[in-house]
Amino acid sequence: MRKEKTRQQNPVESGHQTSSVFNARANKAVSTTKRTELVTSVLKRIEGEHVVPSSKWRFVCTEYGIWALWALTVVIGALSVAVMIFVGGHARFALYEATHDTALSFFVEVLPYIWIVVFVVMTVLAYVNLRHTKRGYRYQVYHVVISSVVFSVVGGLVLHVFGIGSLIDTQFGKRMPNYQSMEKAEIRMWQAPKEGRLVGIFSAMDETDTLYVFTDEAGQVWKIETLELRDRDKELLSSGYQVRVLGTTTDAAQYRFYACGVFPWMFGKDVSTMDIREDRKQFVARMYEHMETRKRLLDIQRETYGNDIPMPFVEGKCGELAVMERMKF
Amino acid sequence: MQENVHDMTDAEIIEKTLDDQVFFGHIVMRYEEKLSRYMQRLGVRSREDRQDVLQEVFIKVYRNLHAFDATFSFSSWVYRIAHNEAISLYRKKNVRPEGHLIDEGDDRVFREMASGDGAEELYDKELNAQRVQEALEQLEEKYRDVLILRFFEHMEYEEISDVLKIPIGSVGTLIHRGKQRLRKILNTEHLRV
Repeated sequence: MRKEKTRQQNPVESGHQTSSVFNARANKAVSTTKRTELVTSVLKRIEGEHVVPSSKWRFVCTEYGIWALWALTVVIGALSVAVMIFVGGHARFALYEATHDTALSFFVEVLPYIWIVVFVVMTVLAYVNLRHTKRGYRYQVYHVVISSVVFSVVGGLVLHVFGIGSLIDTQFGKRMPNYQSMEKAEIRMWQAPKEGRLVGIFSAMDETDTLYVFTDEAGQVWKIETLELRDRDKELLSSGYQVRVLGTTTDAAQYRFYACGVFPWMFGKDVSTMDIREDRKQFVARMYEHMETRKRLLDIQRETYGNDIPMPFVEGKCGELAVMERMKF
Repeated sequence: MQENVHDMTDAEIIEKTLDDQVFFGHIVMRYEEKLSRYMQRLGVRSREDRQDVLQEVFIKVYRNLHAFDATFSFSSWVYRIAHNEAISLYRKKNVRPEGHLIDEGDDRVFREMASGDGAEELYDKELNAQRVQEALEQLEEKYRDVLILRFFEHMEYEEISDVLKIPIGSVGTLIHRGKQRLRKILNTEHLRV
């Protein structure tokens, strides 16, 4: 039944387009061995249905297209790695106790999830592409996955060296409102007056050098009390550069803020590991000083007034910050 | 000139075919019997079905001649197309392939297939083709496919990898596991007896 159907479809066999020239050529080409029924039917079908080999370029383009897609996935994977390296290397871990309860909660917040997802998706696509190349199926899954990951990671490192990770993160942050760039994340973490953190720029100071006027990231003007700040902190605060101030809000209605430490707003690809280490050193030293000051004041209070009356000193507020408990001195 | 065609490699005939399609007849003749047997082993039992599938296979081969890469084995490439067409037939008919493996002289192949660690025991059990065939039919498709290509079509691991489009390492693993499972099935059957 099916054979009949095949015959009906075949115009040569049905006599519509009998090609004696073709038959002669076919017989000549395959004459030394007896032609089988299948040989005859295949050759006649090729002739009758005008079957021609598909263009070589179609296959070449398909193969190159698959390789190009693979390369694209690796490049995008490398870009995501570059951003991840940038974020990982520049997340302000140095001051994590000031913003988070634990190092883990800090990392959970700063992890570049979107880029991790992009990297995973690109690795999967790279695997699928490589599998569809001519020889792709010959390799074990882990070989294909590892090779794609290695290419992306090495590419990502190279791109990071050239500052591409930083560029992507910063530009995406500027152009895409919903994109959480490193810079936006840092500002979100530090522009939190209720939790005792401010980001902004110095505007003016009073004559006694104890009250500084400061405009935060949201445009709010604050009066910063500098009683427990060191000269280095004051210099930094009054430098006119953007800074981070750690302390406590003493009067939310009057926008008064009691400062306990001032730290530079270090951000971007130019910040070195040395800078971050120095930042950490300064932070720990400042907090340790506050802890010592509070301890000293408490001792004086106990010796002079006993334990029953509240702390009579204006100083020592910084020793009560939540960050002091997290520091575990 | 005609004699030369028989001495030509597949790749050389393909070259000629691209100039003159009638040379394709030699390719069909070279592979018709092998592929027909392979199809039969894969479970395409009806001769009519096999003829139809083979016709489609060769038309597909002809249509995709430019896709053939001479750095690969032409035989593996043709077998792969045949394998895929056989699978398509099962899917189209929505049926499970039924084994039809027994052939004259297959006894030795069956013994070879079931051999391995502890092979002596199996020889002692005087395996016969019928029992091994039944055991093969109980095997998962992935094991049956590699065992057929390895022991009936006598293919190398690399060729099997090309036909089934699986990593070369997996071919060895599948053959090893397939043989183990086959022995297990045969041992269980022996105990039942």
